[in-house]
Amino acid sequence: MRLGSRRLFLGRRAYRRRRMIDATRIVPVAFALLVLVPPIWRPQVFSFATGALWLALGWLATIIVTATLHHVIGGTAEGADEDDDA
Amino acid sequence: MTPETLGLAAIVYVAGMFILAHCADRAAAAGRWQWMNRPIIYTLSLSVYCSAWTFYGAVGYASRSGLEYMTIYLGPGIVFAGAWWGLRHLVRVARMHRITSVADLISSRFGKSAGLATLVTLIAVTAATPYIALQLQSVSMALSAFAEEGRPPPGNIPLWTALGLAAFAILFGTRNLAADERHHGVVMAIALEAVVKLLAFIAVGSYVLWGLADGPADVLARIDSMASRPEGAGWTIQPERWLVLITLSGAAVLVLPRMFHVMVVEANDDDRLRQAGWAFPLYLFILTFLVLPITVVGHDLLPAGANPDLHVIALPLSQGQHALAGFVFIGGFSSAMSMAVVSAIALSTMMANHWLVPMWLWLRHGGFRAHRLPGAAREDLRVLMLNARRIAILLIMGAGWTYHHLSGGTSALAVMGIVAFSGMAQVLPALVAGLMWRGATRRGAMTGIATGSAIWLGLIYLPSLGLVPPPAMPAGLDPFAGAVLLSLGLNMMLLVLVSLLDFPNPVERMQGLSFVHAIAPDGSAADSTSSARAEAVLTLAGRLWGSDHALEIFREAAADQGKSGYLPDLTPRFLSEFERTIAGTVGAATAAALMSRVAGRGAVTVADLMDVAGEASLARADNQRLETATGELERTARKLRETNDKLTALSAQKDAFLGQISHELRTPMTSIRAFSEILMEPGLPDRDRPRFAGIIHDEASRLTRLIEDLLDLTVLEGGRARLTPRVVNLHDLIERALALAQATEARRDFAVLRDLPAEQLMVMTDADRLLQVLINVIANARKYCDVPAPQIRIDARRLRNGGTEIDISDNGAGIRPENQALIFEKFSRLTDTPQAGGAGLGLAICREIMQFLGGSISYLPGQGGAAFRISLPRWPRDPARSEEDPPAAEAG
Repeated sequence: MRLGSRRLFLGRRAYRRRRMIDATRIVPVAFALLVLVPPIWRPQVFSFATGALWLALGWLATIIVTATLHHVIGGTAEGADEDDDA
Repeated sequence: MTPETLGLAAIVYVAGMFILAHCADRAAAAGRWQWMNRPIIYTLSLSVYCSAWTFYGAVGYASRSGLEYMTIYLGPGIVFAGAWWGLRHLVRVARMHRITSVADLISSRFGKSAGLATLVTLIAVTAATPYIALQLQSVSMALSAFAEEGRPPPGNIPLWTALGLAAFAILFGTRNLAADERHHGVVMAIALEAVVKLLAFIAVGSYVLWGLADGPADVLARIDSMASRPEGAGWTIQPERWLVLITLSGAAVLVLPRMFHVMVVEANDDDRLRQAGWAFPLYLFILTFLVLPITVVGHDLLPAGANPDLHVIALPLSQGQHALAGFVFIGGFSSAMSMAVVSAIALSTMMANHWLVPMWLWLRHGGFRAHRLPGAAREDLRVLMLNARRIAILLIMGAGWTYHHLSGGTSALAVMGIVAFSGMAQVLPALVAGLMWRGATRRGAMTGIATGSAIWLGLIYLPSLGLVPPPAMPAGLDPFAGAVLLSLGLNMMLLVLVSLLDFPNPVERMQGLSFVHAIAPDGSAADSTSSARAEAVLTLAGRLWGSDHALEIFREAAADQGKSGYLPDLTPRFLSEFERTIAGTVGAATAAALMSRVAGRGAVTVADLMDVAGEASLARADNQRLETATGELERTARKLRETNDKLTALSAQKDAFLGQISHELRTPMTSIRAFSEILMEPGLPDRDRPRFAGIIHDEASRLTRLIEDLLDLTVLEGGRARLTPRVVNLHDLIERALALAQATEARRDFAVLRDLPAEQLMVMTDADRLLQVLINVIANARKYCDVPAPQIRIDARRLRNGGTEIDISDNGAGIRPENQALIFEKFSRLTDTPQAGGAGLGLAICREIMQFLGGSISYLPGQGGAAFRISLPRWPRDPARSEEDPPAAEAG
């Protein structure tokens, strides 16, 4: 049972970290949309080289963004508060 | 290069893996395992996702269906992009509860239900059997590609492969029974295999991309040219399949037994997902996009009848690159081996924990009956558990081989993989709901999973075996996608509906809370331990882990509680932790059953849950009360401190006054006595007599005044003064007061600032008393205002409630804040200078008078000098009668 009240406001570093964690929630949604919508919407266009290129670039961008975010967020030990919500 | 040579190479390769795994296990046992506890090892071990199906089958899949093969990688890509918040929660909760498998997770979340564990294990085994058969087939198929024309490859390859892999899995997967299901040797082996298969695929991919084709641009052109060819007809993306397959592969990376095992069970902590979150997608990305050149170049260079599943090997072979082809074979063999071994270990854990051991215990002890179990204490549960797993591994491998043998090998590898995916995906809704929604219940999960998997069995699994015809779907809808949508849709709908209508049992609710919020369960208030015997629990632990290890655990627990020896108190916390530790070995359901019997942990009831909640809220309320009380205490203490300070100051002043009054009394008395003695002298000249008599008279008057003041004060304080109210003009009073106060410091010239018209107020009061106050305040101002151009300002006004206020201020130094509280006290005099002249009673008398008149006098700070406000009520109040008989006019 949690009785202790959580801190309501954070310093600059912790605040930045929280916002980066928020960003990690957006990344999979954005990537899913990128992967799902165009091929479903225009299958004729995205079934061949265009589609391959689109998916390759989109995926690579997602990987880079994820790596950057994970690097910025840092280890679990650095986060004082382990809760997922801000 | 002949199949025999390659077979030999494969055997040597497996032997190498044996040695590596053995060394890693030994290092881990010796505690030297930090170097293999790195995130990179974890990331590489995740590549067990890429089985032989992805190694060989992806190219076949791509040449049949175009980009659709990518769905198998894009799903995990999406899931891992959300590694930080989604997967981390899963891994953290699973570590907290020492989850051993996906079936264990579902079972533990939904009230440690043995039924759910059994069901999920059943689905997993059903789905995995053809999948393992596929791996065996891929090995023999790949070997057959090397066979010369007219010379069939050795026929019993799958059997030997199955036996070899079973031996590996048994040796390194069931070596010991740890409190956590981790296998360092196996993980190291599959991490190395991940590197081998990646290198093999990069080798063949680069060879094709730059050796046979002219780089990426050429490959893209060839892909576009597929659109105009007849084989390209199947390349157009089917939207419903695109959606369904990405969903399925995303689910698969979470719930396939082998993936769950490496991702969750073998994870040391959740922090390594930070690296795996991008590194594993990168691994998949490389594999995915190397498939395309192999596919299109294979199309162009190989004969039309060639099996596209073997393009990876056939392409280098057709160009005479035998060494490269051999390396590729080893890469494919690595994929098959790691998949089969980890699957076998994961499935054997599930089968042993959820099928074999519970059944055996049931048969042996008549259903965990309490009075029978202690008698079985001598038995070594450890051997039982390990043997159950060994048997399970043999069963799984045997089933895979049997399946392969009976089916004679299916033509397309991709189909079986997707069938397995769609089967395990039925677990996903319950998993996700269990981790995110406290309201999901056991019955809901059971209904959803059972219905979904029944539909899967009838519409997907059996048709894939050719036992029943494929289902009829509405025109335009792909049968497979339709069946998956139907099964998953019904699954989710029933899960939600039944959960909404259901009332879960208390254990479920506690587990739900723990899983959704990642809080370690602390055991409920109901865990009455009086009957529990620490020794019985210790015996149970000894039977599971061997008595040395068990004793060590108990000694640590006892030390944590501050006790010496090996028997800790059986507190709810200890029991709860101990149950979770056991669950790490035998699964949550069996652990709960064992504990309930051995330690007397009874069933938790709704009332107990409410107690837990009640205790929590009680504690909160206590906390609140305590805070309020503390606040009150602080306020009181502050007040007391203030009072004390004031009393101390007053006491000091009183002492000073006593000295002062004695002095004041003695000085006139001394002169009276001295001059009366002189008067008694016979020879005193007559002209001196009146002068001395005058001095005596003056001194006596001073004494009288002093005593009158004291008496006045006493009368006022005692409430014995007589009030004689009459109507008087305030202006006249102020005029008189100023005139009478002139006598004080008569030499100084004061500017008096007044608003004469405003002073024309008629007040009903005791005029003499009010005059006394006005004189006193004005005289004080004259006495203490010590600036060169002294001023006295007098403002009078009528208040809305009929009262009157008179402000009298000067432009002097004012009164320091620390003294403001004291000036109205008796005997207080702020300066020691004789300038004051009085005995410090003036303002005290004023205050008493104003109270007596029903009004008040107060000091106004911040007016640029000393300022006093005299407030008069509309009607003077007789203190003796005012309480019970207020004047009628005031009420109106």
